[in-house]
Amino acid sequence: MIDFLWNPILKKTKLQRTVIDKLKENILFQDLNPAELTWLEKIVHLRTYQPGEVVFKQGDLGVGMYIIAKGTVNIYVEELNPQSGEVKSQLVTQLKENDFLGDLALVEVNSRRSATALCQDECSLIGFFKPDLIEVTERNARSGVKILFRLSEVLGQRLKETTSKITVMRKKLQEKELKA
Amino acid sequence: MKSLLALSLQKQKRIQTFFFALILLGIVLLLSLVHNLFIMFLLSLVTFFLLSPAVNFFERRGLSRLNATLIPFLGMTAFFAILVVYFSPSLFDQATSLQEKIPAYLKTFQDFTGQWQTKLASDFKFLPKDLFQVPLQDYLLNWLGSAMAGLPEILSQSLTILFLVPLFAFFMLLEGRVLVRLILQFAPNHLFELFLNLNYQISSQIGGFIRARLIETVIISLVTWVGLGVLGFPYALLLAVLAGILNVIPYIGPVIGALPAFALALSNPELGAPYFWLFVIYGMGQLIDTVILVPFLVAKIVNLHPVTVIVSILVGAQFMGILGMIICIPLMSTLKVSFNSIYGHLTEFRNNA
Repeated sequence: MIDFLWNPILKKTKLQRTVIDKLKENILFQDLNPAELTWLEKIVHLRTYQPGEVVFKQGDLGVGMYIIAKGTVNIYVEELNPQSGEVKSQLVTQLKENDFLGDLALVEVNSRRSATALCQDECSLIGFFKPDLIEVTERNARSGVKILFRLSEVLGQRLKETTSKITVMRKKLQEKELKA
Repeated sequence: MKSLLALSLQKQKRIQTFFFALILLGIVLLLSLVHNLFIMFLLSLVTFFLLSPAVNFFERRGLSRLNATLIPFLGMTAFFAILVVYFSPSLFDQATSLQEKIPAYLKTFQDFTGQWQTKLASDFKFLPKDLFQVPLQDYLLNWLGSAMAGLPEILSQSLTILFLVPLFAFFMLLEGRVLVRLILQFAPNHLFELFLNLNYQISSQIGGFIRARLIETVIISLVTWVGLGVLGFPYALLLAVLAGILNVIPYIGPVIGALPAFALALSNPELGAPYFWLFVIYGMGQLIDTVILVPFLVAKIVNLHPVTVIVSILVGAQFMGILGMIICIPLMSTLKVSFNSIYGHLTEFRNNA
């Protein structure tokens, strides 16, 4: 009913089509069919940010992930220098259109953001949060399973990368110890 | 340049926050100022939370949201139709019979209180005589008279509510999420995740609470009905429904729910004073409630300190009478969830500022 009041009947707006296209390009939603993507478009949240605006801060409670539909988002990690007591902000990475951030918060309990996300220019972000994921699984279990499988794949990939990095670091440390 | 940008962002943030607060305030004012809207909203919410698992179930089976909403609604209508057809004649007969017998009961009650007043006045002669000449029956008659006078208005209001609540609940189930999403669109970016999470936490907590309490009401009503029926006590169905509904009020609800049965036994000597069996029946209901229903259904959902519960009941009773006592617990848990989330967000915000 509300859709009828706010949107033209049976006609997808340009904005709706953009959101659907962006969702389709994202790994988490790539298994969904067009009907499921159209349905999902009504669940996700499109947010716009000004240049310099914070998306989330390191240590904030995180509820979900964002897909960059337009613009560039800089990721900073803030580190406290225990000697001087100063907080140093360091640019870790720069995320562009179609990249996504904060996906760990979808599955973590009381998740805290591990970095600060700051918009470099005017950004449009598609938010997909834990309550949305729960709604998807409750209302359309088939789509929910497809998303959760892909999410597990992404998290598994991350775990694999982290493990291999730790292995390399451990080897280097052992070599250093042997030399000493 | 950078500080100018920061200033403009700050200004925008403040404007967005102001408008979002205005929208929320508008909703609260609308609910509290428009006659009967708050009660209708509450009852629609109860229907919404009761039916939403069924709607989601049918939607999962591949039905459209409209059809998935229509099926439980038709089911509920059929259920109420059966209830009305089978139980309303019995309930109506009981209510009519009670109405006819009230003068006789009042007479017995008047004699009973008169005897006690005389006895107390002779036993405690040192106390002022006026103290024992309180016209209890006059108070009771006045109260009954005013209740009867207000009955047509209450009935017409109830009919409006009964007609509009299913309509509201239907659209809540069909488009409620779209409406929430629309309101959240106006939330400023720095508050968006907080409000989204708050909405989710409150909905899941209150939904669970309402469903648990409804199951509890049905079970307590059934146990009391069966017990009173076996005892052959009059107005068993009426008393059982009353006990089930009032049981929702923590601590004092079960006592208020049992009082009419004891008052009836007191004013009707023909019943043979079955006080012991009444204790057993209502006690059995409470035992099932305390040992089985509360630990498994309710306790994990609303975790409020007993003192908070009692204070909430008193405040609810002060503002909205019996209805206030029933809704105070879900309202208090909503406030608790909101306070914890907003406080956590604010302190986090300060830590990071």
